[in-house]
Amino acid sequence: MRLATLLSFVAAFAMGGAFFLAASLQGYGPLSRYAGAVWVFILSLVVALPTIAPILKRRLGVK
Amino acid sequence: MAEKQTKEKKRISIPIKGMSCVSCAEHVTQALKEVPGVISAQVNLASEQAVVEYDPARASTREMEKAVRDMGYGVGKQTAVLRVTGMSCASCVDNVTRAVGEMEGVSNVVVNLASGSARVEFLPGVAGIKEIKHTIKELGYGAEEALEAEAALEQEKKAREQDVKRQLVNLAISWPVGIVVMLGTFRDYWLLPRFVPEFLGNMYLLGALTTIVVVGPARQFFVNSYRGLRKGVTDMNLLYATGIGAAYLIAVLNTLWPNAGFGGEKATFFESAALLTGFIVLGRYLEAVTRGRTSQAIRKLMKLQPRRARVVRDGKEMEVHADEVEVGDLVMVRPGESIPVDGVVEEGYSAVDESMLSGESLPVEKKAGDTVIGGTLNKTGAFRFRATRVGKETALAQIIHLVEEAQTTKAPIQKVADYVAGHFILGVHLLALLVFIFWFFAGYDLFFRPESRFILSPYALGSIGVFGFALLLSITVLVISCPCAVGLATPAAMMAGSGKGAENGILFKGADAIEALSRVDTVIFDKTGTLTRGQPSVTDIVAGSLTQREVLLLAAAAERSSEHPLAEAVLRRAREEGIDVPTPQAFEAIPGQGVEVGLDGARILLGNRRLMAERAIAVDSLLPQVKRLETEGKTAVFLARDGKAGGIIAVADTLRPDAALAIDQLHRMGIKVAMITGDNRRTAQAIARQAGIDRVLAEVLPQDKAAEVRKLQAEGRKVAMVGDGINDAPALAQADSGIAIGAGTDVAKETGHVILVRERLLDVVAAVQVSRATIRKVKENLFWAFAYNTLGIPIAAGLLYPFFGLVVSPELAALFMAVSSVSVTLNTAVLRGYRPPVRRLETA
Repeated sequence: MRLATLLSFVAAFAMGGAFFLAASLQGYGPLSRYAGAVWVFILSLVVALPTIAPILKRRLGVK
Repeated sequence: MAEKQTKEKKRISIPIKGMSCVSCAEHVTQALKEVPGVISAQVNLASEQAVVEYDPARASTREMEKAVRDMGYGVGKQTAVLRVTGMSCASCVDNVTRAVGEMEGVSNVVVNLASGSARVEFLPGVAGIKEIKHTIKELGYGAEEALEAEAALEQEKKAREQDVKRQLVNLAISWPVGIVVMLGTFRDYWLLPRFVPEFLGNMYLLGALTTIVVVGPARQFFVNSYRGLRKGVTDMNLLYATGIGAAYLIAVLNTLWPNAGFGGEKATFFESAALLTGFIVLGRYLEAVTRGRTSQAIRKLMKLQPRRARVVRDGKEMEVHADEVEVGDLVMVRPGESIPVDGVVEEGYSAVDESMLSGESLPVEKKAGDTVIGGTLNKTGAFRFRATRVGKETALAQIIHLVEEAQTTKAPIQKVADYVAGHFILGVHLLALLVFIFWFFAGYDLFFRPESRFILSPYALGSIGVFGFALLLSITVLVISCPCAVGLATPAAMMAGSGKGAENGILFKGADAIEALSRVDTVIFDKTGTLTRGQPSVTDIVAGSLTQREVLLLAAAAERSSEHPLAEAVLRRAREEGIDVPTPQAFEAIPGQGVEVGLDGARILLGNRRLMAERAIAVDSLLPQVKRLETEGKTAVFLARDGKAGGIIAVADTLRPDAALAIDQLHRMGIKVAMITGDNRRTAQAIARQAGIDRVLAEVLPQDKAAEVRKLQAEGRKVAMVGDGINDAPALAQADSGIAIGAGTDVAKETGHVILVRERLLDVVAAVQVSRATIRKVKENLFWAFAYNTLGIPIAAGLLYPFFGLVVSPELAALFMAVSSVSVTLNTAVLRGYRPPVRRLETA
């Protein structure tokens, strides 16, 4: 469970980072970039948490 | 049952059922050893336990259970019903089902949102009620063992009242404050400047008021979603929390730092956050009220149980609590009183209203020897009866138990809805993410117009920035997508349907029984005792040289000393016609042929054609009538007096009076009707003709009835079998829907999926009608629930924006969401007033 949470945070952080990078490259203002990245991070975390845990359980063969 | 755990291995003992010899134990041992991950297995025949040592990373109890079952043995399991509080949507159901289902030793979990219950089947020792409760509580819900029905209802009522009260307080805060915030926000529009004081337009005041709503009524959503997220589960609280939280945060940022780029002062969403909370709390309130109403059927049944009883003990009449009545007690009932327990009338005469349990609209006459049912209402006379069933054994207690069981089960249609709703939250967040990314990177530049506005609002989006606009649409998608109506759609209708069935004397043994019966396209009736009365009666009296009355009188006299089954029918008919049956002076039974008696000097013969032929009695003139009667499936008996044919008496097992009407109604509903019987084809076909039955399955031995049902199922038919529930048990079990008819006071012993309290064939029609009406309601509810989401989500995601420049505000999205719950609730309420159409025919 802890590993799943850690991986979910990493995945969400990566999504937020990717958003920030894309927004920066397109010349968006700092507030839009930072706030947008935070929102993408939150939504990605909500999606990742219940998705990664079962995948991990299956992969590791935890009954 | 013991359980020990070492670093790598675990030891458990599993109760095994169905072993009868040492080789059985050997088979089970072998089967368990073959499960990958099982280190050792020892089976004890005497204690019926298997001690298994296994590696929990490689083997599970489910695999062991399957291995045992595949060998043809059973595993002793325990079932617990828990009351789960705090569930508010289908995803909560999914969370609890998944978490408990994943527990080691749990083999089946059914969670019902409408009744707030969880029925868990588990291996005692491997899992326990304590652990299951702990798992549910860890998710943020409450879990208690279900109490005795009455206490449970009381507790449930109390908890519901508290919930309703809490949401009412939240409503009382969020709505007035929300309206004030809305008036303040829009005070520059329409005629509002004339009525709304200027200070109400102050952003800091609006912010302070909204803060009250967010930390007060909206607090529950943040707390619940935090609890869920800690466990890695998402529910609709998270949708609300993200929606309200984001709207509030943006409003605060725009108020404190208007030039920060979130849209400035013209894009403060304080009214969104406040009204969003108001609408969500309204939805919560309505759900709390609805959930309570779904258990009304049980409550109504409980109210039938009288509190007091008057019994005669030691020759004295005394009043005692109904629970204290014992089997064998003599109970007194006066006019207008309820009957406290089940029993048999010993003295007195009355009419009893049994409508509450059997659906019978007319009062039923009761005299000595008749059974009475506890909970029914004595109307006219006074009587005494001997108690035969008390406490949990009474028909009323059994009916309550059956209805409760039905309401904690889940129909296949519900499982699909739960699955969809369970994965919905995840899908919605993913969609909200995509919507945000699209409108941020592409949509805003392509389509945004400052003059565009919210639907049903004067509020122009004005200077809202790219982030604010994309966030707004993303939040609206989250709010509008709430699947709470989807979660309520099926269980609410199923509970109302099972209650409606109980009101009509139809007991469904589960939600799946309702669904299965609604799909039936063929009904098979067992003939003897189900379609017919099960006892022969006189159908025709044909006069020859004697009149009809003389034929009946002499036949009755001849049968007076006979023990033949036909004798009872003839004597009953004579009694009905008020004939004083004389006693013959001489009697002789002629095996296989009939009887010969001497009466007042005359020789009377009553028997078959062979008897007449042996005694050289001419019956030629009666033969055409005999042929006709035999074609109709009747048994014709000749009567002769002093060597001369006097007439014929025909005897047959007759159809129940409502048989033809019931079958006609089933035909009108598009259902094929078949009859199954061990009788010869000619008799069977005669009965089938009278009843209007399409297909006859004759000369079928009792043990082959199930095979006949299978044959029809192999033709692709959905089959319901109607029988007496005891002799037809295998066929009832084989059928898609087994209907046991005429259970009377013994509903618990009946096999079958549907139990009819009365011996009325029209109740079969009523059962199909109730099941179809229930499933129709489920489908309508699901349609409404999904329709709101299907229509709402694309609009919320901004699909209409490029064409009309309109967007849905978060509070309007919350209103749509609340309306979807209300429409499901109201639609289900219609079922409570439902009366099966066949009941109208009965009344007519």
